[in-house]
Amino acid sequence: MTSRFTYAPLGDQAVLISLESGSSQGNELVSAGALAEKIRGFNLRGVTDIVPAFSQLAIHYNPNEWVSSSGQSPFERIVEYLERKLVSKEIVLSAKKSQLVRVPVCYDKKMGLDLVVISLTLGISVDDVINLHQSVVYSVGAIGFAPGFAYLEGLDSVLKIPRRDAPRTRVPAGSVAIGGGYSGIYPSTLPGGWHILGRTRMKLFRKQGDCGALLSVGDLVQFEMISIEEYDVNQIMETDV
Amino acid sequence: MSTNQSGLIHVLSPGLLTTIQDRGRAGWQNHGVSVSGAADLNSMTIANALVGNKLDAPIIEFVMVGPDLVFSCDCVVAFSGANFAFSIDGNAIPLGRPIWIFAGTTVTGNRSSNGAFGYMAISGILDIEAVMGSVSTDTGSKFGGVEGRSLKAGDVLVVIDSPDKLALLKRMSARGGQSFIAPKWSVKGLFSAKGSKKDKVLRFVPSEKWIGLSEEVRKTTCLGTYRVTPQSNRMGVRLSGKSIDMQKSEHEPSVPVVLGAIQVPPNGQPIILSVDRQTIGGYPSIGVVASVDRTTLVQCQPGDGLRFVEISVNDAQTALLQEQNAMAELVRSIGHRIQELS
Repeated sequence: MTSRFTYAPLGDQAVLISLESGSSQGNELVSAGALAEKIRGFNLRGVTDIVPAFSQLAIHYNPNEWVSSSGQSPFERIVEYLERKLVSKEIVLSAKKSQLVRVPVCYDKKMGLDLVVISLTLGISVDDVINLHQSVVYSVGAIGFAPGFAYLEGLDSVLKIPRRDAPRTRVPAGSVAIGGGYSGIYPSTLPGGWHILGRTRMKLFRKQGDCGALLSVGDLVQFEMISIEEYDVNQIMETDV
Repeated sequence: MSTNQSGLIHVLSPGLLTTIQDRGRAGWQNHGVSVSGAADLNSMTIANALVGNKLDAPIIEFVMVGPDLVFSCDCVVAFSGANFAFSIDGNAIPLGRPIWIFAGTTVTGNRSSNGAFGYMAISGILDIEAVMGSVSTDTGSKFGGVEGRSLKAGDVLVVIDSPDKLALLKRMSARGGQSFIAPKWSVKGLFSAKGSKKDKVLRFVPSEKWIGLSEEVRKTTCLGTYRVTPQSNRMGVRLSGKSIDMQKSEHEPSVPVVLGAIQVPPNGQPIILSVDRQTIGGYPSIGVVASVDRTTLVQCQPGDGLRFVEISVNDAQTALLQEQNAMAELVRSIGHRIQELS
């Protein structure tokens, strides 16, 4: 067992666990998403949120639920408990298979507002930009910035370019974009500084019925190009539901 | 629909940023959803206790300027937090006690004199639909409260009667010729901005990054006074003062964050994350403000001076548990007081 985690206080109501680079268990690389799933399964008392992001995760807990009579602080007690649970041999962090989510994207220039600018900046054709973007399988490194917004890791290094100089005040909902070395999908209309390559009709977040985010940290995402006609058909299907 | 009696509260003028809040939307941060909720949780708890509500019942929060409200029914309300000098017919309504307001009365809010956030609890149940387990208004994501936004003129809130409210009204005997009825006692000494000329102290639990900074940087940071800027809001308290040099190497990925995290953007001017904070953040952080200093933090007004003092996580938790015990004791004694009203 070579899992190496470090524990630090994130204030007095959260623990920050950092995965050292290349943390592994057996042959499996440990991801923050898988570790979060594992810890969720412990059903720790007084824990409200377990939030993974890239190589770290925060456990938000109520110190009142971790009071001990032995003079240990609640922080020391929850860390001791986690350390004990996370070195035991029965934990198999890869237990949960990552789901692969296929996201249909229309890369028409009407929606890919920055396609032309990026092709000019990089000196490659618009088709090359699209191919580079949709030829890889991404993994969700973090969810944040806005409800359901996923930071997708795996972007081709050619497309790792600085953000727009002037952020847009309104990026249309469903915009598929690149920025900061990641790809991402805007779940709702938001301000944003990423470059927009296309648009999807897929719902990334639903508050109705308390569904929440479509993607979780650790999920895999593949973009699939659709024509503008198919994109319009998707709209009809959306409204029919 | 409920068959209980209900009454209406009309918003005549909304104040600056008046919203419905409760304890917040915990449990959804891994979906990217902010926690939100009442900024000053202790003041929310006290106001709810004073009207016999559940301690985390939906409550009205106002910022800097209070709203003007018209009550269509007899209600028992309580004000807490900063003093917004609410009045009826020019008669000041005292803070920290249950107040019987008569049907047809207009309650007028003012500018806050001593803090940023005030609260009004209303006996009964504010009829607001919960989203993801909370009625808290998240104006950024447009969730909760009234259509996910702050209240505006013309809004109407529905309050459903509860047995507790009716019992309270029975005990508070009506007398003629007054604008409202209030007991002589009040809850004291909870939130008060002591001499705003003096710097307020924020204790913080240091991060690894802070420990890695040079002693000189840490010293100058803790010796300096930081002023709250007018750009502060429910997302963050923005400060200006001695620039903090984080000796940052290169771009680092976002990390999970918490309320009270003291972030330092490249310009070295700290931003302390508040209730509507996002769930992850990209700026390095020197540490997190101790939960016992949450009220001090959120109640800061623009221009207030702050100083940072280190505290260990163990000491911060000891202080928090003491505060929670003191609050539980206070809530119990309020419970007894409102049972004995007559």
